[in-house]
Amino acid sequence: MMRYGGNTTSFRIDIDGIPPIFVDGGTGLYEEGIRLASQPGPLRIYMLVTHTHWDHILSYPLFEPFYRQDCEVTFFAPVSEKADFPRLIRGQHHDRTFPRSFNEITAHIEYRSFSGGEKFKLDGATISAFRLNHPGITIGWRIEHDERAVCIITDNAPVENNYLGEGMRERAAADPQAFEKEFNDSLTDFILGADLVIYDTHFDEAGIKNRRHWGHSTPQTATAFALEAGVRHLLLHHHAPEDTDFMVDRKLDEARSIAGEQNLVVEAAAEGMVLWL
Amino acid sequence: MALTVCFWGTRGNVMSVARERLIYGGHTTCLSVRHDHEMLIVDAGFGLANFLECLSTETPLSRGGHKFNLLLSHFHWDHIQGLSYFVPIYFPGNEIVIHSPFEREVVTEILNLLFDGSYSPFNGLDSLPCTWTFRKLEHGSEIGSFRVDFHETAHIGETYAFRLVTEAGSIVVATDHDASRTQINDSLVDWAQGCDMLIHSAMYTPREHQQLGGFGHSSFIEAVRNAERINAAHTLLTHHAPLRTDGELAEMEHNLQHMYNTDTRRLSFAKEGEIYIVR
Repeated sequence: MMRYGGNTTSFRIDIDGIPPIFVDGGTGLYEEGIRLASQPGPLRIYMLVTHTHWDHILSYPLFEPFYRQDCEVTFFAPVSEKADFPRLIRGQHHDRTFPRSFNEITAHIEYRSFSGGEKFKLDGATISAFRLNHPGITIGWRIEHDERAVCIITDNAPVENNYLGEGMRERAAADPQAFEKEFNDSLTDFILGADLVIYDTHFDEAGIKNRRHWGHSTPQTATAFALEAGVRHLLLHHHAPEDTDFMVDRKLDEARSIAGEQNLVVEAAAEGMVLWL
Repeated sequence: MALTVCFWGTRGNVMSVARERLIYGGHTTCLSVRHDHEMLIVDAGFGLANFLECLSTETPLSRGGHKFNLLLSHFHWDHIQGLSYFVPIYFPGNEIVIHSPFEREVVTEILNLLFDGSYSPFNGLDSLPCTWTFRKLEHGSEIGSFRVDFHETAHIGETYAFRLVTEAGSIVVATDHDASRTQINDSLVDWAQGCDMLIHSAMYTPREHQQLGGFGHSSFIEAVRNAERINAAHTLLTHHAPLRTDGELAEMEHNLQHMYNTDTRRLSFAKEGEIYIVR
């Protein structure tokens, strides 16, 4: 029996009247690609990317709709100083590492890049970006539509004396305490009053010791932010690869006991789960 | 001196862990071969993380002093992606020896791409605390008590099959090979003659193989034909299509055994976590 699942990060957000938004391209996306490829066209797809670590992108070269001419895709991805996103997508198609060359992709793909703090309109929805504390460049996304909001914080570590990714150390250098406070306040504001927050709980409190620089949080941290921000529903996410179902249950118990009688629903993300806002 | 094989990943292309794929397994290609107390790992798909399950826990990996011999057949992601999650690389004093028919520059270029700072929390191969050693295989190279030979396969991009010979028996590993490409296949069949165990690509039904034009893998039927021609004592078919369920694989396995009048002792589909005794 398997309850929470074993594939890496990928999920889909459906909003009435807007093409499907796929968040990240971990191994979970592959099966969805096969399913979509058999549907009649034309296909219109949005791809929201939190960051370009393998566990979030490795299914893109295997995503079947990319090999259809009647498919139109827009990627929304973080801006990096080191490497632009289209180059990183092409890099996955190195001729020694993948059998299909990037040129075989026949879908029309458009790339739009964003930094933390930016906000844009997408059809009827409003999407905002927040720079997270994780190695590389990682964006948290907030999607708002028709007075509902979902926030996606897939990979983020506690910032206290722990500055991760391009430029974070430099930003903290002048006044670390002020930087930490500003980061935490802004993150709270970013998820403020959200109907659903999907939050990184890779570690438990024992596991995060000595590994804070890996860039992940715990149920304790996730629940504290959710309560502070008056979030309605918290979904624990980014379970560690070595976590058994039982260990995820324990994380869930911990988060629920912290939430106590307060007005916060806590669940743990499981493959195949569907949530209605 | 027993010779055994254990599969840690049996899936081709992409990991696809699901309830209906737990028996044959959902992790990408990785297997280990044990001859007495010596161990070789072949390929480093996501199964590689599970390989650690079979190690003795006497000395923790974090204390260093562990050495792993890894053979790489080629560099498609599903054969190298597990390296990033291989715990020994995070600790100094552990040595990973990578054996392949490729030049050192090719191996390091690809592994630097795998550990690139944009794709991973690392910053290239040299940013990892472990020691990397690269050995280019020659025909008949020796790794401990194993004699290793290789032969090019019919795949997309340069790819190799390995023949591992010990006093206890011999194993041929050809996980990525399209047996319908006659010229390379005939040569590979000659080269693999009479091995005790054949591990062979069998990703497709004949119809899928035809529709896809091969894509560097064999159909079940061609794989079994190769097994007969090679006269392998035991054949394990692997590199299962990502979405093939346990039920579908079990049925195909049964049909193949029936069709070729054989049984599980001679012909089976590789299962993750299963230990196969070669001799």
